[in-house]
Amino acid sequence: MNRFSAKLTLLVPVCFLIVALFFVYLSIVLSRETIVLADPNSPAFFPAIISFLLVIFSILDLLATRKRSSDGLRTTLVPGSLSGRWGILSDLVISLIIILYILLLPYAGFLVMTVFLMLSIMFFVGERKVIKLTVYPVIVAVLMYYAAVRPFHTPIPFLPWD
Amino acid sequence: MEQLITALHQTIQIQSLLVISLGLVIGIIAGAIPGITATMAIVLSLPLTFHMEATSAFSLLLGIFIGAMGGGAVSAILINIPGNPAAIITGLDGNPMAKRGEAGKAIFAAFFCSALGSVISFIPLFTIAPLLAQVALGFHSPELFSIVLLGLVIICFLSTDVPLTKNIVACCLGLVVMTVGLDRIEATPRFTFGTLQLQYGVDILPVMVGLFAIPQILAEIRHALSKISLEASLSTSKWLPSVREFLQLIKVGVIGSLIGVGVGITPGTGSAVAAVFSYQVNKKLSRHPEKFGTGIVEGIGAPEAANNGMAGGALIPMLTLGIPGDPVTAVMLGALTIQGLNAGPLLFKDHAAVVYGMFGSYLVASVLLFFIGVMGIKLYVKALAIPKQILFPLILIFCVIGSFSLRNSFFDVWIMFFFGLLGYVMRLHDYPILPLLIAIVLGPALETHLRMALLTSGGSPVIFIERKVTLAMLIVSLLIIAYRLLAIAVIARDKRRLQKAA
Repeated sequence: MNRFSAKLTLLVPVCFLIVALFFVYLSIVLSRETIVLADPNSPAFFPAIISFLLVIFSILDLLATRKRSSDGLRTTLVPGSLSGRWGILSDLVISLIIILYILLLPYAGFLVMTVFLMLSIMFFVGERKVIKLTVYPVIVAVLMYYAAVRPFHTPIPFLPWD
Repeated sequence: MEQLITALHQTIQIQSLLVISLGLVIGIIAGAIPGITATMAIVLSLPLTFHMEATSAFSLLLGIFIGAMGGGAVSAILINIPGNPAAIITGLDGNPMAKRGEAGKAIFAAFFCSALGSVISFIPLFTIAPLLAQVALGFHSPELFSIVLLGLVIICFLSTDVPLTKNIVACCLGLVVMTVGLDRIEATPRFTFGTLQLQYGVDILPVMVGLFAIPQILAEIRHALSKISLEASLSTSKWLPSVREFLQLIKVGVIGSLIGVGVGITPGTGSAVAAVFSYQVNKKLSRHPEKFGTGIVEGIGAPEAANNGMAGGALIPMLTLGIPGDPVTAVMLGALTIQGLNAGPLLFKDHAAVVYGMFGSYLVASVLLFFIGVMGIKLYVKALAIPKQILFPLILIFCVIGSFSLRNSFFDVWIMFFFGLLGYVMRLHDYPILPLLIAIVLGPALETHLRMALLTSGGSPVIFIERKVTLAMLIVSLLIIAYRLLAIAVIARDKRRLQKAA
């Protein structure tokens, strides 16, 4: 395992540790606002216990991960299913498409954004037939809109001006 | 018994039968498509149940649950890609049979034993669950806290797939997430950062959708890039097994179902364990163990019966004690919460009609599974041929609609996406999702019962030692922790010895 890969493996345990410390801090702040921390009446009582536990086990996990990576038990950062030409890049592209979809949906409407989502994913996956790229997204968008309105009873905006 | 007969009478009404059948079809199709798990199918169908009454909602969900358990065998048999983890074992004998042109018979055997497993598991579900609930009615906050704690200890310490620290970190993360929102006793806002949406807490639906669907969608789209073409062949020439094979199927079905029920009752095990265990036991008990793996109906029936038998077993601790044993029951527990019901002994007392309605639906769905499974086989084969570049964006849109429909808020859609990314990162770094999800589901009960118990004792933890049930549960929890730590120590010692010897 190269040094960069080993460091990346430690990134997630470190992030969890930071989250744990942040919640410990928030629990202490909350206990100051309400009642003392050790009182079961205090809303900070349970979060404080769990956050402390999370800190302890995040540290243990960090140490264990470090030991495992130094022992070479995890040879690559990414598991086999993620390796290959596309690997994480594919996930990044799809995540970006999803972010754009959620972000623009309230403004551009369900129809436009669903066509965009379907079209971009189909194109990304390798679909190049123009008929399929135009017909499928529109059919799916319209059908899904009616699925949303009928069984789900969801007032999702259909067009930009809705 | 009277309540069950009334519930069965209601279940065999045309509307209920249609709902159960719809659930079974959705479940079998979802189970048959590799990449869509029973959990994902139930999670995606949850928004459909918002406007249903509780019994109908659970008829649909139980139909999906049972259908998906059976449907996993279809793709394992036809294309040797299991629809769910338990179906890996089914493929060992199912795929060789399909290659010999006996796919029809293999699928018949799979659905027959799946249905048999579900029907047999109904017996302990119907008999043990109400008794256990009756006993649990006498439990108060200290007992309930210790039961929930035991459930979390089992999930964290008995799962050996991943390192222990990762299990506990995932569990603690789930518990921390559930503290966001209004405090359940004092109604004080916690960790809301001044936002109104977070005051209601993090809803379980977008969390479940995100954790299960988004990482899977990303993985499946990634796989679609590799352009592997799958061809499913189905020979309809030989459908029915011979009388001798039929009797063998009944034998392995009964043994497998009982194993499945036993495994299902134990939290943290899962259907794959039940399937492997049943396959091995039936192989040992067989007169011709050497034929297992070459394509025989017993090799299909054994895992399938255990797989579906597990479903009934897993529902017992979920309904009576509120402890889910696997992701599917964790999601079902979440579905109960969405319907405004709390799993546990009081569910049997306050909402007996819903519980017995669920029992009735479970039994009817178990019987219908065989008929719908065998009759709709051509439809499921067609479902296998749906291109993934269309299917998975479709599921993604469902995820967005489902999360949005909860409160008609895009905030929940972002929550779904956030937990999707969290689930993705966790998967990438070998953190398990199950402890996180179960902690999110059980977190509120754990906190409420702990604080209530301490408040009644004036803050003294002695209350947990004074009561027999609580003490017993805590001792069992400690024994489980000690066992796992001892196992880790023994493995480390053996490893050191091996290194020294080398």
